[in-house]
Amino acid sequence: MPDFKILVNSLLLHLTRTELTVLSVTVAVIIAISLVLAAKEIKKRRDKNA
Amino acid sequence: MKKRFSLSLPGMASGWLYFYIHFVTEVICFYCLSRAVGDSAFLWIFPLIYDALAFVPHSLIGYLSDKFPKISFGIIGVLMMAFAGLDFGFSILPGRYTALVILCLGNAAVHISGAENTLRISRGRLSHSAVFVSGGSFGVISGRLLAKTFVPHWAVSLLVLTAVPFIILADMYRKESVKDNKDSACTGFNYASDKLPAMLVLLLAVTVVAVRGYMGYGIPTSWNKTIVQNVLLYCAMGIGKASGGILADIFGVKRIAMLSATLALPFLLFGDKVMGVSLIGVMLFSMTMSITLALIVSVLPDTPGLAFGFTTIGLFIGTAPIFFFRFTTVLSNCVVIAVLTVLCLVAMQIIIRKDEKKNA
Repeated sequence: MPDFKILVNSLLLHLTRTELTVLSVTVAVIIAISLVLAAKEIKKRRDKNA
Repeated sequence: MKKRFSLSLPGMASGWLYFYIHFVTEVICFYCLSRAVGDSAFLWIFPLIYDALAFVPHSLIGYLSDKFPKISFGIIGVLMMAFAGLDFGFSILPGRYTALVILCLGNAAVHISGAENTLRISRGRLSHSAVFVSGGSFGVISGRLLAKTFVPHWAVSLLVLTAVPFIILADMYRKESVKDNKDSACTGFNYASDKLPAMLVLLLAVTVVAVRGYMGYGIPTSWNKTIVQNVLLYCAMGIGKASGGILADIFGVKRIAMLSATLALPFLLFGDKVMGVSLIGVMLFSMTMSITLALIVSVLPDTPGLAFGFTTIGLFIGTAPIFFFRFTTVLSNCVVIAVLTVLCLVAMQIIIRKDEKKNA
């Protein structure tokens, strides 16, 4: 299994800590928003069909 | 045999128009990416950022496109990519990653435009979106090869601009089709099992995409040493993606999903040193691409842009670990591929509905 400390350190060789944080947070937030939107759409469709 | 496969002119024309649009999109992206990674300091960080920013925002851009259908995200995306190409060449804007971010967002906008167009026009068939998706494989290898030539960035920016009339024409086909159909939602997509909660189907389908995204990098291809062999590999992927959708329309989604995933396994495992065997495996392996898209659209038929975004999120989740660690021996690779294939088969068996006669 990979050593995540080494992974993060190798990422930081190329990206600043701020760039890495912005990238990870952006990805996580977009995925979370997408899941919420999907749940909302599914609920809307279920209510329409009920 | 199902009779749902038909070569309806607007639908198939739209698919082929977006085949070209997708092709030039990947040409400029992989041209810029390959030129950038030529600088060894960015060897792997550029592709990682590209994967994150090109794949993940698809869902949000897709949702916006679903809610504001009058905005042409395709044209906006093409203009962004053309500008990003110039920025890569002439460093117009400041910042190390500015051009890359613009390129990624442009790429996402064009993909969403293609998905919206081909899914809404297809009335539940997979072939249109499969043809659109397959164009990307040919574009990836063409962009990589072009990056090794003297062709400058501005010339590739001009090439991507040739997609604009194709997008306008595809939009006209879509408007015509929606006017005839009076239902722009993708209600014809009805392939997911209704016995499971929709959210579970969505998550399992994304898992299948992620697993296959990871497997795509792990396929043992020690035969792949020359440019011609590399071109053949990408052509096999493209043909597989297109034929997966077409065959699913003819023979049924479940049959093609299960058959292609099962048959791909021995060809992939024993094709490490034999190109022909491996190419058949890659082709079969690529067939499920449009099927997973159709499954997610079945869950989110009113928002096909958002649905398409989930397939690219799955691809990001599947490909991100590749940047950090890989299985180094052929044996461990083969074991992982076999286990993941079984997992995919089980997931698809559960989430694809049995009674396909209910499909439109």
